[in-house]
Amino acid sequence: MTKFIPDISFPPPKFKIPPVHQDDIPQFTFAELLEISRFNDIDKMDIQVGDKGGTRFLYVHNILENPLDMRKMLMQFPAENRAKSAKEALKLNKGTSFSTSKAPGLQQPIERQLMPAFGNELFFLIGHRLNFIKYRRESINWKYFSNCFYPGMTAWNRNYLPHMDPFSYAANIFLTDHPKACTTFFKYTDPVTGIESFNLYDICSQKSVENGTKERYIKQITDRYGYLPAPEIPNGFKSPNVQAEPWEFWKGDDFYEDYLELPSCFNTMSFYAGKRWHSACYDAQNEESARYSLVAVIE
Amino acid sequence: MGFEIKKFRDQIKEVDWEKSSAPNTETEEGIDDYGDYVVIDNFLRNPDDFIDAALSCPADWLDQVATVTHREEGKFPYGNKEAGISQLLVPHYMTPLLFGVYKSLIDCEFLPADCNMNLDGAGMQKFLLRLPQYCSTVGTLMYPECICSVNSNVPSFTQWNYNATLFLNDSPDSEWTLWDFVWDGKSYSNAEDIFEEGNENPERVEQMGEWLNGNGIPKIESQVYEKFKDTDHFMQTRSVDAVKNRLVLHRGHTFSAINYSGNDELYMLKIGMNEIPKPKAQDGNEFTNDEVYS
Repeated sequence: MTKFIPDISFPPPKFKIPPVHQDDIPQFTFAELLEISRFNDIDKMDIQVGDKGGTRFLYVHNILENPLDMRKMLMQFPAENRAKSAKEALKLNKGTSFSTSKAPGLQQPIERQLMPAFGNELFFLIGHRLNFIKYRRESINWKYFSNCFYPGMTAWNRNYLPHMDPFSYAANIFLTDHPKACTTFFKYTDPVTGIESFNLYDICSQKSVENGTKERYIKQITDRYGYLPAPEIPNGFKSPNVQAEPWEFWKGDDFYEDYLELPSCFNTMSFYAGKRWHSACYDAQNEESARYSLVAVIE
Repeated sequence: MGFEIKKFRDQIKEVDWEKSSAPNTETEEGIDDYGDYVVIDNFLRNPDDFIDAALSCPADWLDQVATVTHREEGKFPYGNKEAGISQLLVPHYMTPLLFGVYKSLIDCEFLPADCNMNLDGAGMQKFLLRLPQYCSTVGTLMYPECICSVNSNVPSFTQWNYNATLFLNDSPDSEWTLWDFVWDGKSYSNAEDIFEEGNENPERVEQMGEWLNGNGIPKIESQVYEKFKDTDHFMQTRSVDAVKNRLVLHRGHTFSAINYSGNDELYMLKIGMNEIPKPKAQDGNEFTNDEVYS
């Protein structure tokens, strides 16, 4: 068979093509990744296991042996600037940018190919040593990203209000020290029945529909927070459509009652079920630095 | 003289499985989670319809064979004979029931909620087609003096990742039971406990395996079914009464057994479910290295 080579008699480039040097690419060896991912011995951790209103959580201090090395590695991943993207996407793509998450601030997707050692450590701690989850190891896929909340950041469609996660459990490992910031959990108490709801599953249950809780809840969130009634979908409402606003340091009110706060302390992990209403509390007006964390979620 | 020609059409029993196998599990309410196992009462919306449907399905002939071979030889030479009459039911018929079991596994956190993608919309439609392929559904009727292989009543693991037992009638003094295997004063609740012991004391696990092979695996000899009782090597840790329309969920790696009272009848649906493979896009945890553990 005759050998074929495409015709490459293109005109020469107008500019010098800059070379790539391999050292420009952030690199980590196997041993380095193991060290970066290593957890402290369990005796050196301060471990609190709790259950508030049915919300089970872990709060583990001094979890990583080399938290600053982990931070240094993570910071080399790019992030889409969603505050700008969201505005641009309104003109270019009906409001949908590449990052579909509704989380505030910046979020870096972290490639899990670099994180299996970390995932092993995490499963060994929460599944094996602490027996906190009962999933089989084979059932778990970790997904990793970072959260970076920064001074002056904006909210998008009031995403400081309580939400539920689309995954089962989340581990949030704080790599900066912001003890005034926290993950806060909320409940709603129906004024007529006195029944407490901790998420939308409670609100949409047959009992809540029958006793009017769902209807009262939707009326309140539309009146108070600008959610949009949408009887055509199962929830019965849609997120507020107010787009960009200054971020609020919101920690509940007389409607959503705050019953659990997990502060964002350096080298501390909070681990909780994402299906309970919660939100990120960060004082973007007064904090002087960004709150940075590694998030590992069980898909 | 005319012949009456029976039409096939008139002889096939058509069953509304969609209705009869519909579960009640809309929310997490009604799920009693005990960690190792979960109890859900009033599982089916129309339990009597389901019982009628299940009873319309045939069973195999093995129980008849076992009764004869036991009477004549005291043996059942054709493999493990579990007590009672078994109906291999078609899982595809009862997809709503299996979906209810699957959703309960998520609600009680045996399975991660990532599979929520299977609980709604187009994802659910595709998933429902796949789900029965990973399940087994067997109707089992235990009755007084039924025959089984010796040791078939010993608590054991199953071949499934997850198991569910749906009791279809009240049977006083009959129970689903959970056991610890006891070896040399140490208790093992499940297969993982034993594997873990194997990392440190392989010889000890070998001894345990030898004992289990001799005493925990069904033999060729047969017997009239008897309840399994505490022994030096098995200690009962939990039990759940057999109540009509009660579902008991557990992982297949635990030592479990049905302890039938021996009085009247006990009719149940035994469900086995394996983990449904995730889409390839969700893979990525192939790496394992025990050295990195703290």
